[in-house]
Amino acid sequence: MLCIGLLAVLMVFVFSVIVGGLQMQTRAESVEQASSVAREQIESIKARPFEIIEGSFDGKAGSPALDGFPPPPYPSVIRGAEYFLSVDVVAVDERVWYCKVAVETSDRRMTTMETYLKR
Amino acid sequence: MIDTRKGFALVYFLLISLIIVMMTGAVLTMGHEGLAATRSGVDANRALYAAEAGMTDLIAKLERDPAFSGSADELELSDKTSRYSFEFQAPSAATALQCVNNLAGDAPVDSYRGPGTVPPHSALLVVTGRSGLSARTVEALVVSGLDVIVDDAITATGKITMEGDVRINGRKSLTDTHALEANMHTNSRDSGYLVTYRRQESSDAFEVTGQLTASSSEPAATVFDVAGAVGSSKLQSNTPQKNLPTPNIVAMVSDGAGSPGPAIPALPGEVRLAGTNHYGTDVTVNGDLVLEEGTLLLVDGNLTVNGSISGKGQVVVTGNTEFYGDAEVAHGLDDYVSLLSQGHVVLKGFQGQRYMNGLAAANPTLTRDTSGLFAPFVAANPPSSTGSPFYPPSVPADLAWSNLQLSLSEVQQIIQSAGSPHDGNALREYLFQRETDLDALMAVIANHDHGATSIDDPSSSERTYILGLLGGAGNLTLDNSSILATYMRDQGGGPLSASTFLQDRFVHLGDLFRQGQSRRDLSLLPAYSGPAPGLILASWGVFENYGTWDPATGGGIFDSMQSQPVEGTIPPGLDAAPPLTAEQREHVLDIAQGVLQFEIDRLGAAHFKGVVYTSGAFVATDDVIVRGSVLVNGNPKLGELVIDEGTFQPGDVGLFGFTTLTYVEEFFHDGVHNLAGNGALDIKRWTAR
Repeated sequence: MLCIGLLAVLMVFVFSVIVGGLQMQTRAESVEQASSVAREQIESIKARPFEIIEGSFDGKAGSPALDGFPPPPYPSVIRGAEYFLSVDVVAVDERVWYCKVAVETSDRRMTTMETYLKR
Repeated sequence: MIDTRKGFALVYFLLISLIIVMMTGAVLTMGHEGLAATRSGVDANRALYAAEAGMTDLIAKLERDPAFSGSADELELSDKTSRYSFEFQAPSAATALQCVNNLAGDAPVDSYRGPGTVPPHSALLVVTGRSGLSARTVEALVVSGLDVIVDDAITATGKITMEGDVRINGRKSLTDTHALEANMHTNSRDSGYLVTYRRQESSDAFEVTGQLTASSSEPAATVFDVAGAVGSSKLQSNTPQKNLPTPNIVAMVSDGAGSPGPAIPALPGEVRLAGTNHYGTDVTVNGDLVLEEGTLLLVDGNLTVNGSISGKGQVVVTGNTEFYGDAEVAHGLDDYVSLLSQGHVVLKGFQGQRYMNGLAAANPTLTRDTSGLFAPFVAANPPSSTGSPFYPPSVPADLAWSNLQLSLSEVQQIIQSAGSPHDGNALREYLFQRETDLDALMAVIANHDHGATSIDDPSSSERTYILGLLGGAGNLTLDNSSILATYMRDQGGGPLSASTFLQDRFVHLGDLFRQGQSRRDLSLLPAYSGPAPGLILASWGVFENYGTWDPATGGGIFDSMQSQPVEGTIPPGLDAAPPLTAEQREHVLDIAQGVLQFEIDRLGAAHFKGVVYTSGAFVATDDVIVRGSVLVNGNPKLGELVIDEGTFQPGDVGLFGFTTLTYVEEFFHDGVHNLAGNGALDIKRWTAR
């Protein structure tokens, strides 16, 4: 009986660990997906020769794109879960823009990427 | 009896526990490793973008200050997710993680890639980005100015419309006229015809030495509507889009805001600028605009030049630009203008070629002037002084015109037959050996009568040669540029009329080919430093003073350059010209390329030498020759251009009349050099390591 009891306790611990591990993997996959979405967003902004618009665009809050900026995948993309994008573009000077792209799901922030763009 | 099965449960329990713990450990490890891998991947991406941010920062710094050689050590981006580093090193000591700045250099320098791997006017930039434990390095080779696409006379992003007599060709250099295949390309993927050509007159032709290409995926037959003027083998659709530069014109203009230019006079007249000149509003120049070497003209608005733009410099305009082609053909390889216009560009000619075709067809009788502008010529060489019959008081227009073209063409062929397009010394020697023929040809073109000229001598080889060329004594007329210039002057056209333009063109030809010691004002002889000044040495003095040669007051520069023997090859009775210096050898090439730039069958077309970039539309109309390259990267945000020739969208190109676009490869080796140091760098190669 003692052994069965111990085994039961162990199993509870083990299952919780396994569940935690699986959650960790799921989270890792989500972050990886979010990272990929952020990269796509930055690359699609870089691909535009003109029409980069300064400002903050929050896809989750429903900020609309202005004249096609930010380009897709803004405001969101569904890849298993829905990933929302927010894009911030600020002029550093006449030649350089600072661009930050953040990606989040409905319940948590996943990743942030930032770079400079040549105007 | 002892029950040996007792305790088995414990053993099973321990065994099962061990297996479960091992499985749990494996799951845990996999989860952690997966997360770590993800974090590492995210960090690697962040590091890459940090490296790109550093590269952007570094390029911006070099655009502001081409001599920049500072460093960044773990500079963090705003969100502190990543950081970047770069540093410069001397070429010979640079490692794979250090930058080499050769933007101001005229010769290649070393880098970690090997000897001479950083071309002139270039920089090898290496930036490392870091995030977490990840590091990424990016490397770029940047060049001053624009990295023009080789072989393309025109690259556009919209429709290309052509009407009239259009030529798209190329050459290696201005002194090496061997043909180079030159293409015309549009990145447009719109449906319907993207490239169209129409004749304006039945004699009009369409010539493309390379190909007409378009990125549209539709068949060539539905992309090109060229009325069968070029073969289908020259038409190609579905070609890759070409990467066009996007210079930051606003930043370039803004950089010069602290250097306002002088007030532009409202009255008509030539405007000369030097240094940096910034204008915060629209600018209108009523006359020719001449840029001294290295001039930067920055206009925050529209630029209208009711004349030509010439010289050695760059013009950067945030609005639209409109100007005329030049009557004078600029000498000098580096003598070209880079025009960067954020708005539309309209380049106009004067319909000079059509004017001359009409004049030849009507064929009026032209009278040689004996007063005014040409009085000094006549005073120096009165028609009756030698009894020469070759200065008849009147000449049929078509004969004067065809003799001028024929003789100029022959001079060009002699220059090209030298076979030494890049050796000034050898070229000058060859031209001296051909002096007899050249003298006869120059006498047909300009005021080049040697007094008792040997053309008058029935037994002279000059006479035999020139009569053979022109088709007999009945066709021999001399100084045809003056005859034609006189006619144009007498038309009394306004400053922007075809006749005034053509008068300038013929006077310019006269300036090139008249006798070395002959000039418009005979009192303005250039000083000669040689030991025994005399008539011939005074002629050589014109070339010796090439740096300050003024066509209005100096002697005939071509004759001066080619008519003196150098030491060792002196025929009896002639003085020797001193051996050519390296600089003089360059001058020989400059003068030769000035002659070779004329297109014989379109002497009436206006010239522009340089590179044009616009994010609007580009239209060349009314007989224009462009030597250089045209880049039209249309910004859809700009409005359309509406002019007499039609409506043009940003990215469109229109060529109307007698238009020639000649891509000159030598202009654009390693970037557009005359943009160096003035706010534009272009990426020639980009590598992520």
